[in-house]
Amino acid sequence: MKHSNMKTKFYTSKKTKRIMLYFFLTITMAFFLFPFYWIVMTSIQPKDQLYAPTPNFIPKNINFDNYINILGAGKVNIAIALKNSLIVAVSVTVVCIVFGIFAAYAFARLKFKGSNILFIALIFAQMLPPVALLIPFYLIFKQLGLTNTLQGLVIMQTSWLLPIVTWILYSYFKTIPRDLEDSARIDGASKVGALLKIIVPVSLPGLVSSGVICFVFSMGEFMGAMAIINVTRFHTLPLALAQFVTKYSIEYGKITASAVLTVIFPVAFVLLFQRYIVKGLTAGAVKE
Amino acid sequence: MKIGIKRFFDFERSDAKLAAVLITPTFLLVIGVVAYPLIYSFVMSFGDVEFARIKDYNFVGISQYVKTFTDPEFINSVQVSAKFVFFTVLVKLVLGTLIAVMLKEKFIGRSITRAFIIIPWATPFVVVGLMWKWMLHSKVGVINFLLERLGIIHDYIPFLSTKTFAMPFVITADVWQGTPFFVIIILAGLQTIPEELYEAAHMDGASGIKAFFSITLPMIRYPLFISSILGTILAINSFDLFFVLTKGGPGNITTNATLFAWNNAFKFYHLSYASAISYVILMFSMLLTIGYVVIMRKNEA
Repeated sequence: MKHSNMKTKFYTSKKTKRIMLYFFLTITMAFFLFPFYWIVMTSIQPKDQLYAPTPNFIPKNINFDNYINILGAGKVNIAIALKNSLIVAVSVTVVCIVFGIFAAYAFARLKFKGSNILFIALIFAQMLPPVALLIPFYLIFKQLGLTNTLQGLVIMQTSWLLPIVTWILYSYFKTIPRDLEDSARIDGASKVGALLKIIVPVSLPGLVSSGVICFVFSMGEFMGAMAIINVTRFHTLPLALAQFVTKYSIEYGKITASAVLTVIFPVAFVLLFQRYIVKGLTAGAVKE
Repeated sequence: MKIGIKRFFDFERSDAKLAAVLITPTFLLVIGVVAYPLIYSFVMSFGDVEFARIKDYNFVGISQYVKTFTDPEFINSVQVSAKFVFFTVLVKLVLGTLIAVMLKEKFIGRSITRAFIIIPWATPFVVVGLMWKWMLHSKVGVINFLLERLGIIHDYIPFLSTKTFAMPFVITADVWQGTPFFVIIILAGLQTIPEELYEAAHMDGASGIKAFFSITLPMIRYPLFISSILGTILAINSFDLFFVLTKGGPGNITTNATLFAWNNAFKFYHLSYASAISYVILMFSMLLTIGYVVIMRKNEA
């Protein structure tokens, strides 16, 4: 009798625990996902619905006017900003990956004087507050004719991202057994050949994760872009969006539609490559 | 000559040569676009350069730095930064740990939940700011609507222009964006804890909350350290969110040090003073980075 009582008690406590788990998980996910739902909702409703006293939690009459509007030549041209953002983000990602592979291989595999100090210097460069660099950036870029150019943006963002990419790839390369490389070298491959034929393919997950990190950062970078770009023609999405909010703050339908377009690429990539990103972000943070 | 070049590019013999070639692009960029500007603004911080007379540099010693420590506006901005950093990192740590513990459990839909929780991390801060600005709208914001329906407030509140609520909501928006990163790092740490530890604790009669404090927390102290330091550096540099949500207002209630430096540089054009402010921020970040590197090295050893 006593025994079965204890068993029921144990059972219910386990069941309550389950219910509590699901309860708190629901709250957590609602907190993190509701804002997305809300901007998507806002962006597909006509204007008069937005300023109604009771907001619609489920859309009543869906239309895509806001999207059509912002992609046409309106007050703020999101199509151009989207194009600029994608050009910059893709270039930054490619350049970072290529240079990152070089540097990471040097640090992970080659013996040279000062490698320790240079590596730490990279970490420090990574941690510098961007605001401390902006004034000279602006002045130097102006002299070089790089303000109000997409190239300027690419150079700036690449220099900010290269340290972290190097670091992620370094920690990847470190996990690759030397034997793999050695056997290729015995077969006659050069060091560079072994890097390209053995190390790069094996560290594809690391490449993907640092690539996505570059892309996400570049698509969202705002402060640096604001310092060196002040012509609408070269606006990236965050710049266009910020201008939209300041100048036409009443048009939340269009603003949220632009926000959805800004966020859709980074989010899609992150969901697609989720597993790799987790590995990339936790590189060095967890003892293996 | 030709032989000379060939010999130079003979990487098979010397690691150092190949290394030099491989790290050159990275260091050219990092030196050109990071180190050089850094020296540039260091020099500038000892002068009196204003944007209007940009070529006109007079050495004024440390007087810009003296000014920072006597300027009530700057002192206020440091306090704002301190408040923001403290609360945002603390809340992210607590929430991050709780959520990571939940996500470690087995439940239906776990992998999709783990995937979706990263989404806020991928959201650009400008979008984060705008999202929350819209939800906090003083007339038609969904948060006002819900709070009124629940009977928590009677009249709609213009949260972001209210002294009491502006900062807490900037922190809320930042917590929303940044917690997933903490979750990822902490969850990775949790997964390295061997299950036997819990079984042994269970045998000894310690489970649940007791096991959490005696096993879980000590075992994830390293990821907690790392995420706190990275989170602190990120929070010190936080700019976009403040810029979009409040522009530092009302008054200067939410003007953090970074925004203050930005305003001095690109709004008031006091280039030297702005450089000095940035250098003060930089010193703080560097101290934290030293801590970070030391802890990391210790962990690697």
